[in-house]
Amino acid sequence: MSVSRLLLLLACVGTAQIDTAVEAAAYQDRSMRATVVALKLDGLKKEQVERVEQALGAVKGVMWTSFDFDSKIMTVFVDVDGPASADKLLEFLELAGHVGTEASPQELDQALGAMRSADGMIFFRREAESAEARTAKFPDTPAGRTAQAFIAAFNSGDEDEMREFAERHRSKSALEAKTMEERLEQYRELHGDWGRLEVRSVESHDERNLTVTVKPKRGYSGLALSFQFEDAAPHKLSEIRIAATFLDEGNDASSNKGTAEGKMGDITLLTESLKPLRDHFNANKHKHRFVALLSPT
Amino acid sequence: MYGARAVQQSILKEFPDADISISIVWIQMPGFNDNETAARKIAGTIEDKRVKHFYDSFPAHLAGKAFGEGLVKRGPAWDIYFFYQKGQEWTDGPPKPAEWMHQLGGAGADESKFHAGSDLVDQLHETMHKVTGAECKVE
Repeated sequence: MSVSRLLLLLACVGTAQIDTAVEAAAYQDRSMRATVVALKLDGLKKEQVERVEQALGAVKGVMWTSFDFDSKIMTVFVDVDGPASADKLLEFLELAGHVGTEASPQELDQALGAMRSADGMIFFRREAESAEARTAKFPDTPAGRTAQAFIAAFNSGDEDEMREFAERHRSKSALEAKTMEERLEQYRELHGDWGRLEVRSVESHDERNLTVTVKPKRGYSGLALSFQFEDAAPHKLSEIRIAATFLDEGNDASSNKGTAEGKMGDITLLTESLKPLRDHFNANKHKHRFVALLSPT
Repeated sequence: MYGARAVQQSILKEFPDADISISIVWIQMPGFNDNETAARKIAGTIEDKRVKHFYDSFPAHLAGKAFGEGLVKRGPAWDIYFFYQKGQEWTDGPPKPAEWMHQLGGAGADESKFHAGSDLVDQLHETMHKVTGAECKVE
């Protein structure tokens, strides 16, 4: 199932029938060969969440899921190589629309049964809950839609999508200034250097100028992408100016959530080997020991 | 974040005098903001001399793989808790825990060991007492 198809399903079903799914997001993480989706499940009781998580474990191809009780976001990965079934997922989502706070065990089982039979894997992405995800909205203007389309095409890692973006949105003069092969070669290089771009803010100046601040996966703390549009209607994209910028991840809303201001603890990195952990474990063998592996966010 | 609070609530605060060595491995999961900065920040909120913090980055997941061996079928071990008796030694890999539990859905881990929410807090507290014999704090 393509991400766009999945998003469409979530959008259509979510607003119409799923009162528990108030937010949804999805993207493809090609490095992990996974489709990543986020749903916010506000209406479910704890027992229902636990049963959903356990049932998802039985879905073919599921790598892992997680539910954050603070944000009410459930997280799952969907294998991009798996034979994901749009129909089965739709069936689940429709049934899940009846799974509210007062859902009976039978109704929940029915929904979970549909999910179990879906040959896909879904990852409900916690980051969708982040302040950035909520606030970094693209304006519903031609400029906003073009910038959003560019980010989507860039993050796809798919040269065909980038080619389609250029043909649809670039101005005639821009297309003449650089051949498509040159554009795609530049795209390959930039995508290789930066990886996925996460949108941090969108600032719309006017219909001919819009700036998007993104955090690349690699290379820079942040990048400011300034989209320049032609003066004349239909205001096609003339160029994208790129400048490095600094994003203080220490002020990242999600990683700050619930932590003490400014206080940093000592941690030992396990990048090369487990020796530090093993040595600490064995050095304390005269004591009982407790080891927890936890996500910091 | 929830797992950290569960550990603080059920073990650190409830058993302040227990002579136990605690290792918390902050594990970086892709798709989350689980970077080293986030790990250092949350480590800074846990003020307990019995605790030592480690960071296991993606994609190596050295700790996640070692501790998940034989217990977690898909992906690394995370949101997972292990208790060890005195005298147990780590040789080729982490020893078999005296008790363990997790809050992993969809990873193919033993469902009978799955605990979440207040149930996780209760189970950690109960298991801490059972394994170590420590008595919880009396207000």
